[in-house]
Amino acid sequence: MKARIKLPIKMLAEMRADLHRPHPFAYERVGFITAGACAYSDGALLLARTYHPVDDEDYIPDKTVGVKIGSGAFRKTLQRSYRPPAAILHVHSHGGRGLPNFSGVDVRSAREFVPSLFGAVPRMPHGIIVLSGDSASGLLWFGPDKAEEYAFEFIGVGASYIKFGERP
Amino acid sequence: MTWLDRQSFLGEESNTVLETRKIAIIGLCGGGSHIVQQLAHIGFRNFVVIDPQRVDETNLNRLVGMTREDAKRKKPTPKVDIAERVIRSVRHEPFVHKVMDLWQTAGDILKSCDVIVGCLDSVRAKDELDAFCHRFMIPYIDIGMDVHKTADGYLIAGQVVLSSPDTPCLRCLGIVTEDALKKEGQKYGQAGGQPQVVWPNGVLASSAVGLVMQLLLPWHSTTTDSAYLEYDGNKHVMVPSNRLAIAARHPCKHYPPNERGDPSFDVRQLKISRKTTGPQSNMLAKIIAFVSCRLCH
Amino acid sequence: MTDPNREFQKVKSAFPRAELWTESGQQIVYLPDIGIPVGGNIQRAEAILWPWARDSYESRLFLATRIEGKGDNWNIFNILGRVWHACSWRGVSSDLPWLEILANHLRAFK
Repeated sequence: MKARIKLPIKMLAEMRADLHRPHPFAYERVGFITAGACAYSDGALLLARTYHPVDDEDYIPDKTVGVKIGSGAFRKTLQRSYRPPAAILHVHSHGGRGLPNFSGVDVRSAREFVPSLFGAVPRMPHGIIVLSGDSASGLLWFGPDKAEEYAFEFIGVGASYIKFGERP
Repeated sequence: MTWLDRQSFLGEESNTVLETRKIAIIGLCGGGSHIVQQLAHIGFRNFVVIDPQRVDETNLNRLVGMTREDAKRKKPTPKVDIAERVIRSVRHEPFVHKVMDLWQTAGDILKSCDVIVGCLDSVRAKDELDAFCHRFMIPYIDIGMDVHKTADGYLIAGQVVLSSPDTPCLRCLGIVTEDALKKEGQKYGQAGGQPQVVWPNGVLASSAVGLVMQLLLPWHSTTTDSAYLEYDGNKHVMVPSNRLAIAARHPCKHYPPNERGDPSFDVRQLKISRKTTGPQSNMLAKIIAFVSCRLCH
Repeated sequence: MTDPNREFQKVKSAFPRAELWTESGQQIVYLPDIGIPVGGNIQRAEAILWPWARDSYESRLFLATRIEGKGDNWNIFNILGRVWHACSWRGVSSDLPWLEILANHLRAFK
């Protein structure tokens, strides 16, 4: 499944700025994108609708990991994604430039929480995104029992139209 | 030396963009035919050209690329074929996807396009196309021209609009109105047959192409995600419309972000490719390889 | 004043698989499978009920495929990214309850 993710350029800039804000104790900030989806001859498109940063109160101190968020963050995200049904994409940034990679912790953690999202929103794909300063990578699940797949590319739409994060 | 050397100011990425971006042109008569020609000359490779009609003699006054022979044939040439011919006369090995039907039937291919340019007479068609583009986050450039009777003769007028996600739509800008839709609906959707001439179409088409280029290969830093240019063909000027500034004060209420996507989409009904990463697909691949190997022996 | 959610609940009680969708800020009803009386038979169809004024009609019913031999002035539309068909059938007020709007539109195919 060739899946592309389309985002407004303004949302991309907003996310990068938001995720780079320092947090009192978490090493990284995270947020969630909700998205619509469609299928077409070339695969699937995820179409970003909204971005919501995780509220400060929903971070949990944990020295063993860079960032930990509580059930409150997920509950708020699920409330936003239930009607109309929305794909849920957890997003964070590694900074730097070029195609970013997910850490082992990112992938292990996502393999635990992403499949559970299908319990609330079973008809949409869900996943995780990591940003760099000029690119992005995405891992998407198209079912709770399916293996994750890399997003093929990202498309930024707005005052300019850009493609980035293309996977071979 | 290459044929695109004189546009090298568009940047190092320009060849890649020209090779890979896909542009749809819907409506291939007076406005659309100019746009197809220009985009081909610029060097774009991937086209979707849509028009249900064959030419007739009355198109000859403005359809760029059309010949007398096209109209004289027993079965006049389809407009999509003329568009393809123009592209192939300029561009080496283009990919031209032709749809000789209403654009409404081409949703699947249109979702794969990077920019859609609409040169449609019908207000309803413009409205639906605008809705489609907002739903699937495709920048939409719409052009139109009219000739109006005035007290001292005629006024040639027109407009070019760029509508992107989160920017004023054609309804916000007053190009699509309920009144216009109602009047058109009372004629069972018949539009067209209005006066049309080549030179205003050329001006509008060139401005539309300029907006396409600004989106895909900006050559300066002050690009924009929306535009509404009004053309006065009597004064020979194209100016930004005040309507855009007024409409832009408020978010578009017609196409809110939560409407993006296909509401009938359901992952449980998708055919998923076998080429997946992850431990489960690796196991599946191992099983397939084992069985294949056993079958070979 | 129509209460879309209330009207939709009534439709859903008659058509359990109905879904309430939004297009251009208006709530419309997707009916994945309805039976349309055509002549003496029932034809199954996928439909969208548009219980609001549009295109000079007070309300409309769109079908995924045309009903052959019934209805006049069929036109093609693109709604929510898909092709839909509608014939000309006027005079069905959007003030009616949604189930009645649907029933009135189905009369076009009898």
